[in-house]
Amino acid sequence: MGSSQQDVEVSYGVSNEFFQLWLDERMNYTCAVFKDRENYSDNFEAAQDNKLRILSEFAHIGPHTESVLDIGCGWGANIEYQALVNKVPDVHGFTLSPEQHKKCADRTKNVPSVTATCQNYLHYEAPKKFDAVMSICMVEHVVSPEDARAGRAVELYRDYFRRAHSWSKPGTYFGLQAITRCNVPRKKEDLDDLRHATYVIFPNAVTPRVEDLIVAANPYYEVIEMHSRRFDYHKTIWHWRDRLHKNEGLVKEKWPGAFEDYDRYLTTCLKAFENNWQSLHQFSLKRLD
Amino acid sequence: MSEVDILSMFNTIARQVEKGKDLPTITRESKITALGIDSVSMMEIIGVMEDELDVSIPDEKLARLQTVGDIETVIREQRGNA
Ligand SMILES: C[S@@+](CC[C@H](N)C(=O)[O-])C[C@H]1O[C@@H](n2cnc3c(N)ncnc32)[C@H](O)[C@@H]1O
Repeated sequence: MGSSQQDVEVSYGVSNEFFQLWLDERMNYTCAVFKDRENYSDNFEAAQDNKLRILSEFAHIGPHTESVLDIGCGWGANIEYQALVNKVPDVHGFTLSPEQHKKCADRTKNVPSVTATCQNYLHYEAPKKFDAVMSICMVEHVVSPEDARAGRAVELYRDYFRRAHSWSKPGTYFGLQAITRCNVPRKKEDLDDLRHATYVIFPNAVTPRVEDLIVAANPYYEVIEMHSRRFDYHKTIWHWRDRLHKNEGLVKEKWPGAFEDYDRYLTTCLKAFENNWQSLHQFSLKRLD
Repeated sequence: MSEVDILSMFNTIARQVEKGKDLPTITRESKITALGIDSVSMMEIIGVMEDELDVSIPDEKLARLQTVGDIETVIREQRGNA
């Protein structure tokens, strides 16, 4: 069901130092949101913070918020942001990747309001109910291609929403971001690039279709707001690839093969967002009680 | 339009796409993955079939195609709608 820990280690386990070379300073491995809607010219670090600000709003996080849960917290960008910028007194995040968890623990060792664990959402039991839930591009790991073929996608997304609902207080919001699958290419050269992305970089993950998420949110959440941000992701990928290229020599020396794999992957992503094979959606979801 | 033999068309195109691979006998009940055709090659086969038959399968139906018969069914639905 979905990506296993072994799959996740392929995707996020290369080395923390490797990802640090081409992600933003906070290490968000997800789409930024640019204020400049024409040319997407914002400073990349600022655009990543803007994304975290928007999703915080979608999750209705404010001075009244006592606790936030981040499902699939990566290297900890958002949990740290919630504690330091939004001043939330109790933030918990979990990731399935041991490498990422190490980084989370390390960066928050002096931030007592944050805890992070390494675990599967399928086994998570919330010790309390949270005031807000967030999940930034983790739902792409909930369904495997095999699940999708067997028609299990909506059922598995619904189970993910059911869990999020059960971990939160009545009346609260969920800020969700996801890469979404739109048009499927049919040309051989495009498909070969996608095959590489699917097997080498993100094994056993499949991006959801936006309509499946909307169907699955019911009966747990009501969709209050939804934004599609395909070009924001295009620009995000552009920055990642640019930074990867600037570090080509070092990457080639330290992690043989990684430069070629990630350059090909990011180039495929550029095409995918350009051609509407993939898009990015952000949702503000309110619990149905 | 006369009935097209979608099964034999799939058979021919699959062998072109998977050149070099020894594909087993293909029937309507054959699971595409069990034939050794992955979802990416399947998309290529579907693309060629769509061009030849001048149909286009809606993207949201693609992830659910499990057997060769499933492909035949969606193609017939689309031709019926045309
Ligand atoms: C693309 S990363 C995004 C990380 C982070 N939210 C960010 O914005 O950078 C996806 C995250 O989902 C986590 N993940 C994948 N499958 C998971 C599972 N079954 N349970 C918990 N976390 C999971 C991965 O470990 C990873 O941290």
